[in-house]
Amino acid sequence: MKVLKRNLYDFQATELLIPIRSKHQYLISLLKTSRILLLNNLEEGLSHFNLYLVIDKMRRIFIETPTKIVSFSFPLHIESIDNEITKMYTSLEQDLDNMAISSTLSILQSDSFTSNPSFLNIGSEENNETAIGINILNELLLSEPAYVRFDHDETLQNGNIHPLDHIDVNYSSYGTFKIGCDDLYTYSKIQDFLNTRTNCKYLT
Amino acid sequence: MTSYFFLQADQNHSNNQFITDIRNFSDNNKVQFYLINKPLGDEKYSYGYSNALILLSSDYKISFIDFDENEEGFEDYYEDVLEDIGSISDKYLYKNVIGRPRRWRDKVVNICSYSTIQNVNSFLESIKLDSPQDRKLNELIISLFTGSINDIERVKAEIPETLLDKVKQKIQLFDGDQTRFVYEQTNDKIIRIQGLSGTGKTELLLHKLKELYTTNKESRIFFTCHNKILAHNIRNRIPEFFNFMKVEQQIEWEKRLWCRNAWGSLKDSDSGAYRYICSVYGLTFRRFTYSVPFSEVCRLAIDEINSKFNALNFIYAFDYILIDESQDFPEEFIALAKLVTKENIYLAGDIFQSIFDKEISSSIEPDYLLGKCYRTDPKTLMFAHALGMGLFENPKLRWLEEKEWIDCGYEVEKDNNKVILSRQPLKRFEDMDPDFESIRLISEQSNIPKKVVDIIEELKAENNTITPSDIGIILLDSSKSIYQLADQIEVNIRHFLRCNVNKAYETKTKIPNSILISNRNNVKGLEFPFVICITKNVTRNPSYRNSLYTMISRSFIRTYLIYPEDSFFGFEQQVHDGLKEIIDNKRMIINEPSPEEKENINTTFEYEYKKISHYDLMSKVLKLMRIDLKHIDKYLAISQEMEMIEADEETLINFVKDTTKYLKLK
Repeated sequence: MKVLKRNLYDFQATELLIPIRSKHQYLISLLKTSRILLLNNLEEGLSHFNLYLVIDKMRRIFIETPTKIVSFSFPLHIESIDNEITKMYTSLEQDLDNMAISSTLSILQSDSFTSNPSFLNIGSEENNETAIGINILNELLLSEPAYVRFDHDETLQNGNIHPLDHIDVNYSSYGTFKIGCDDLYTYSKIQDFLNTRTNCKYLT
Repeated sequence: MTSYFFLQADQNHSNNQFITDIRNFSDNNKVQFYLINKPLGDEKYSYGYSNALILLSSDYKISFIDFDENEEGFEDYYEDVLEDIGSISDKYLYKNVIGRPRRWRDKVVNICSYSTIQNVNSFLESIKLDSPQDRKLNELIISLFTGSINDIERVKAEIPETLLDKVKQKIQLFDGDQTRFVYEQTNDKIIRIQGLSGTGKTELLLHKLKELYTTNKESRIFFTCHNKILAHNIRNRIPEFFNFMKVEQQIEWEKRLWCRNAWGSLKDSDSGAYRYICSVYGLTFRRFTYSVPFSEVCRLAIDEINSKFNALNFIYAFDYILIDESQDFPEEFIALAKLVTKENIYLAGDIFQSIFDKEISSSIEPDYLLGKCYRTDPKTLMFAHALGMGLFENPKLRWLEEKEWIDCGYEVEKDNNKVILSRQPLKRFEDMDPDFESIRLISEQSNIPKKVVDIIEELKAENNTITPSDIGIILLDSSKSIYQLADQIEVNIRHFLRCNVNKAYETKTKIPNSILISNRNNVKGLEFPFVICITKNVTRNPSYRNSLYTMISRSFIRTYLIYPEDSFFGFEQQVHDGLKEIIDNKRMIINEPSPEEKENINTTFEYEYKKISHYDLMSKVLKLMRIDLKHIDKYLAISQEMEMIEADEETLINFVKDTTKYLKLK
């Protein structure tokens, strides 16, 4: 199992903790996380926010804060030396470097794509920068987000409907559900929980 | 005609001598003068008295001069004009700052009869304004006469303290050429205005747009430019500009006025000029592909329109088209625009698409040539040209002939084999110390993000009113590594300075209150008080040098250039000395190349600078080497990976030879 860790700056954590409610937001979070992974932050241990990339049979991102841990899939491949990533690419071996990330984000965040997520509107312009993003987006749109959130939520706590400590699975209002837990889960427990190579947990 | 003198009045026997004298004075002293007989820009003002002139110039009292000796008629005339200026002042909110005419007329208005003027020099001496406050008041009133309206909130403050505020609060007045472009009527269908970037072309197009939109209330107008981010910017600027100019009509977007980039997308028929034309005439819309250039797409559109329509059933798509950055468009698009436009096409373009354009002066002569670059401190512009053309290096990369230098706004002196180039100082920067260092060279490569943060800290310390949007960071190189560098700079700025960052190539728009970071493709039309240009590799490639020139000249106070040590091919000392000469003496002294050297320079850059994309060059090379074009994507991907996008033909041939050995081509 390979684990890469990045200590997040406050502004990075604020950006990543915007709740994911759609595939669109998942892709934005995935790309922003990938960008942070590609950069080596300047200082360690400054904030209470951490980012982990765990690669085993599962490939997942974990964002750790004092009150919640968010995890989603990482449908990409990396090559790394020590804690540094030397190459990141998709299953079809398209490079995902800083340029490709910007190109893809520029499509995802454009007004036309946000209001109508379709490729029909894109690509009719003379712009090589956009072409790279379209190819990557085409591939990433097919990936499964596998979104899970471990929450310690004092504000919205409401008996067994919304337990203080719980797991949210999926993000859409029609597909999401909660599983209550007894305790706040730590990063290592959650990692173990989601890892398909370790013993699985039972609902009792 | 020079750009210092503007006349809008009938020349006749009685005023002829005076007009000639003022024109000569204006030319000889390089001082802007206007002689008019009524306020410009609003047709509703007209007066019964015809033989009088109004003289306007920043440092001289506004003078009403009577050539008829008809006291009563003349008095009615100037009283009426002053009353109308009072109401224009009210309309543009100047009144709250400058007060009613009775409060300012004694300070800055002179009334006289031509018979009392002995000679022009002593007359001008007698009406000269001495105090800076009166001059500022005078300029504000002149701006009302000429329709060169300034944002009164921006310029009203009394005495700006910092350099940034001094430049921001400077009152801007149209020069002669600019005034002629906005107000003159011509008979030609296509009207071309040309100037270096920063000469105020877009601003002038907006003024023209306002004139066209408000004068003809049924007109349909398309404002276009090639690039999406610029179109987006202008689209946002139009309502602001119309509000500012107190245009009372509503903007009817996509009914009377469009402002979009050139191409457009299939789904939205209003999304581009070409797209809209396709929808009006029911043409086949061709989406962008690498294999069909825009010129071809436009040519096909012209053919299709001609085959579908004849003189009897033809309808016009627009009344006017305004095209910004027209040098980006192929002639075929202009021809298409001419076909579908009923009245006029206004083209505003750079003097050259690139400083490496061949024979810049002999191309189609523009109707209006703007010599003065108002954006950039002349020192910055000179240095930008020098670096772009490699004037401090040997051999130089580009040389202009005398007329070409003059067209670019230079004054040229020759001293044996030396050419001394200088530019007129600009009013915008007159409050600045003339020796102000408008360029700073910083040779640093080890930790560029930290250096950028240091520079911004320094700027904040020097300018307490600076905002994030006053700073632009431009990465000049074309290699992929700039995106990583940009991300590192972003993290540093956001973490250490707690400032927002807008990466223009990602957002394709300008975001308020954030520092803009861009590659060289997304800064068209943008300007900043402070620009930080970063390059990791100074090359002699013409397209790189052209970017170097355009990006350095995007600042109007100071540009920082961060570059690696020993970058200028052994001429680093000459670059520093050249910059010192520019800062100290406001001129460049360049050894004129010999005829043989000039010949060499010309053949070299013609060979190197072909407007051929990497894709086109690669297809050419593959054809040459008899490799099936279906494999082109593989070669493109590898060459991109190896950062060979700017490679020349010979290098690509070698690259393809080597690569082919290892590629499995089926």
